[in-house]
Amino acid sequence: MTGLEVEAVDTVGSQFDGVVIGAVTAVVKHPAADRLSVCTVDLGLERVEIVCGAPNVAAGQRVPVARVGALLPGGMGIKKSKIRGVVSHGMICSEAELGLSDEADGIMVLDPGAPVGASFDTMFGRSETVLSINVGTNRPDCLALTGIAREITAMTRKALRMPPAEVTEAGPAIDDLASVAIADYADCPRFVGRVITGVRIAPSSEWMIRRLESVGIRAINNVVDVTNYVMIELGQPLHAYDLDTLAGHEINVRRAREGATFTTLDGEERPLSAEVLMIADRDREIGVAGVMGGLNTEITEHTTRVFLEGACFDATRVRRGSKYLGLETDASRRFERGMDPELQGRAVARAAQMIAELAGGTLATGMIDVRAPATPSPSVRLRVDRVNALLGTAVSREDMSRYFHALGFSVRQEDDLVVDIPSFRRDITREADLAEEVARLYGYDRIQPTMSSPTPLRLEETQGVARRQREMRQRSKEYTSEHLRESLIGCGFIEVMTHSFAHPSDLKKIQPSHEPVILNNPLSIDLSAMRTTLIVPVLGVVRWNSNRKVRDIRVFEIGRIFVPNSVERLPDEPMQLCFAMTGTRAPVHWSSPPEPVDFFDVKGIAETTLGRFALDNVRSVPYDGELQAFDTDRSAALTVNGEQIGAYGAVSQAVLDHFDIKEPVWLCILDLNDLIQLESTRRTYFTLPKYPAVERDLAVVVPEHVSHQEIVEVIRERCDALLEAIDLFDVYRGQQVPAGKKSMAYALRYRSSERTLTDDEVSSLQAGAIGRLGELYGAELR
Amino acid sequence: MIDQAEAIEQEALQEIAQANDLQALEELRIRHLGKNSRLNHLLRSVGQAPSEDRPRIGQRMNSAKVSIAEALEVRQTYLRAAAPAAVAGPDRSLPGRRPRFGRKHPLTLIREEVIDIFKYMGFSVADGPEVELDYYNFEALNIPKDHPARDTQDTFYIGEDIVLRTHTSPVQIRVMEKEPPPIRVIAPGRVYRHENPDASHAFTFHQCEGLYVDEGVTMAELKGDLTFFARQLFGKDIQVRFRPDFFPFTEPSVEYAFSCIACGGKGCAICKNSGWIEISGAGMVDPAVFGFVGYDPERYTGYAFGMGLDRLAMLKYGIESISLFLENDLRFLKQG
Repeated sequence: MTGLEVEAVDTVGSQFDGVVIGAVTAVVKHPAADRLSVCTVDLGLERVEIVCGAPNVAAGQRVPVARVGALLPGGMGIKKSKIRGVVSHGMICSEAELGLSDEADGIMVLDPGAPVGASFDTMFGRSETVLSINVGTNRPDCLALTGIAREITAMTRKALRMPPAEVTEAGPAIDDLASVAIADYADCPRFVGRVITGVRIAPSSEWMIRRLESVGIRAINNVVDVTNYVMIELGQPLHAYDLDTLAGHEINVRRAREGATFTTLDGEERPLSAEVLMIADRDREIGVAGVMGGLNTEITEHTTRVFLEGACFDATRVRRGSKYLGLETDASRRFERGMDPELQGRAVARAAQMIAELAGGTLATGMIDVRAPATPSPSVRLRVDRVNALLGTAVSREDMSRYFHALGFSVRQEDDLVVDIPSFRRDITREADLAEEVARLYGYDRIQPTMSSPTPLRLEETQGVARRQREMRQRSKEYTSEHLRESLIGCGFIEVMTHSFAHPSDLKKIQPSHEPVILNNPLSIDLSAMRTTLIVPVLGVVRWNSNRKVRDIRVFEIGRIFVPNSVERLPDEPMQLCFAMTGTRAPVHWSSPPEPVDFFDVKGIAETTLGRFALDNVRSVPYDGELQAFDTDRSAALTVNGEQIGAYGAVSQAVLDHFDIKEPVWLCILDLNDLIQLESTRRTYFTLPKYPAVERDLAVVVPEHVSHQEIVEVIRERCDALLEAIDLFDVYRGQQVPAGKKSMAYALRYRSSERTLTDDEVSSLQAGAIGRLGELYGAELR
Repeated sequence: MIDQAEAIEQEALQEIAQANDLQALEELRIRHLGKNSRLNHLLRSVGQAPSEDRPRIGQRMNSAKVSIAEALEVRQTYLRAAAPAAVAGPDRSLPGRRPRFGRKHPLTLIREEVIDIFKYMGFSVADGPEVELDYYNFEALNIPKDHPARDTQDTFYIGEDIVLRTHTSPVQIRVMEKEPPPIRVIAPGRVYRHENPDASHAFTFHQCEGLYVDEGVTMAELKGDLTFFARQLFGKDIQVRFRPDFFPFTEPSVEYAFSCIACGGKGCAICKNSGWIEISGAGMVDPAVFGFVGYDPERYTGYAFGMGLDRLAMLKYGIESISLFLENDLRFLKQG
């Protein structure tokens, strides 16, 4: 309901069935093995003897004991067993055996106060539920337990209780111990520090370790752990320095020097730039602000005086630093989303007090607080009617006001509501932001759906002219694709959609002179170039299916290609159509033997597809374009009015080999943008003829080199408008036709729209055509 | 008795094999398997045999019956085939000549369905480039250079300021830059994310953006229009649920879900027992976005939504993995 999405719910618990807390009361050497000892362990209700191999076992320890019958997380079952003659009634466990860590050297030693006989589960509070919550980048306040608690209390109308922030100060004045200076408040609006002296560094208690572990943080020591604990609790990243390693006992917040390097806590030496904000002491850098501390001032086992930092760093500055170093941390994630500038005092106090309590030590008196001049806390005006109009609701002024109070905002009631935005909700700056808070607390489920209606159309519409024009353009693109799609589906082709990426060398194989658009950060080299032709991906589809024994492949794709533009920054994205076919012309049928697809199949399908566009003058001529896809002898360019709009033919053997395709492929490629431009306006129907047609056949013998196209053009020219149709029905070579010549037989249909044609008229037309063919090509009537 | 049964069987099989027409065969059937057949008489007298022999005898008689019946059937088929054809013309069961017929890609099918519904609602279709300026993909959508929200959309870069669009939202800006309100458009198209693919994630997928800007557009209308859409696509009882979410270019922002199309909200495997299927994000256009395109945020309000076409197709057509869409296995596509 709040917008905090619970992504996972994990229950951590009862994985330690049969594991109890025992007190080691006596340890004696195993009579038969030097390395083993026999321990007497008090389990509360009983006392048992256990053989143990760990060197660190000692009387007086509290230890986890797996009793006979226990099943450990690793799957190990515990049985009563005899070890070198001594019966062992269970096992004292190491952390590794309990699946808690990789620590396998020696047994796990618990707090001396651990309750003997109690289940190991209860002591560690392992039966807890861990919620993984997805927090939007706009809500840094919810990267903390208290922030989530605040959301829940707002929803449930309960009061929010914050963790205590009281401190007991007993040490010297802090100003005598350390000082802080900020070079630029724009980079760091606030820096708070406290000092704890007389600290004894040690590992944290079990509860602390477990709690940090449950949120995925590795425990380090009793000081560092507190800083992380408070970060999870309140959302404020903190850093602890060993005060005695700070040169001059001073802290400076400033940019890094260009070219310097710095070794972060993780031991990595990192190059810096002036983009990176640093923490420095008098002499050197000691931490990357808001990202990670430095090795040179870290808390070690020798540390006794701790300087605790709680700062508000600028979000952009931390993000740049983090990106520059390629280092993302729990701290940087919080800072780059925007930090509450009022949180530092509370967080540092809470952490300092906890350190004093858990690690011993005394708080120095006072706190260092260097900050930018105060800015007035922002307030946002909310118009109740306006918000209701935006949401489509009727929430009352009083209810809105109540919601804001529940969220911890204060509200001044005027005609409108004036809402003071607390420091922890800096995401709210405008009325629309408040509207969202109203919607959340009112409940999105209570918004009643209504439907909008489009603006009524008006005859005198002038505003929408640009839109109409765009729609027309868009429509013609959609229509062109739709027509092509329908035609090809009717021809038996299956539509495919392929990736826009290709291997540059595959593209180069087809278009050697084209430079494709290249990705800066591709997933792999195979996917590193934007396709410049659909031929490459469509051949990929053929290969994929051919390898899977799919026969008679017929596929097409209509999609964008990406062509770098020498003037514009963005490439052009024209549309292409590519279809490919393999195998036989027709599906297997018992009545006739299968025939392989050939040149005229591809040509016919290309022409049928284009036929939808009622284009005149579609021609096929030998292809000599830039595509290296085709076999020169078995390919053609498609032209419309002399302009090339595509090509088709047999894919060359070299290309088939390159793409590892083991069967012949016939392919056609068309540029849709050309087609959209050319799309004929001829979408009118003809009146049916009133007068009868005269049909004649005509067979001529011509030299081999004379093309069908040339013959047809001569006949058309001679017969002009009276020739209605001409179809080639036979091509013959052989007996009765001299070598080097061929016989071409045509069926012609003549018709006039004004009168009935006479036989004589038609004969003379045909004779004229034959005569002309004879003059031009030496054609003879057969 | 067994000997008798065997003798009868032998005789019957011989006679059947010699039968020359269907009529004769029918007579044989009555004689050997009919009520008064010898075999039947014999069967009735099994009771007289010693009880320990009865099962064996009964079994043998039955097997004789079965083999006679089979022989009759075989002979019948043979005699029928040998008989002159009763009807003229070809064997009607021979395969016909079927022309090949293609299929649309499932993403085309869903795209057409979505466009049809929104066109009916008065939306027009807009388009934009897939290789897009950073300005349109991020900046003008209120996602400045150093905004952490950029981390949530892993991006392919072509150059410093050129990206493969990570969503169809840049079309919002391109349309609003060109035209004054009212705006009522959808923009279906391909988008890219720098992600390693799995069953529900792909580095190339397809979205449809929706944008409606006018005076007085409300969030209730966003909910109503999405509900109408959902019902057109999936059925009349679908409900739409809003949950708060965050997108820099809408405020308030929601994630919207449809009540489960499979179980109606009772809980099933498809909705992971939640009763709801998360679809995508939506919200009221952020005033800052209006600032980028020069619209007056005091006068106009608007809503915007996205939806994943791949995901809708998976739900609508029961497709299990997003990777199937661009894999182009014809055995999959032929089912379309």
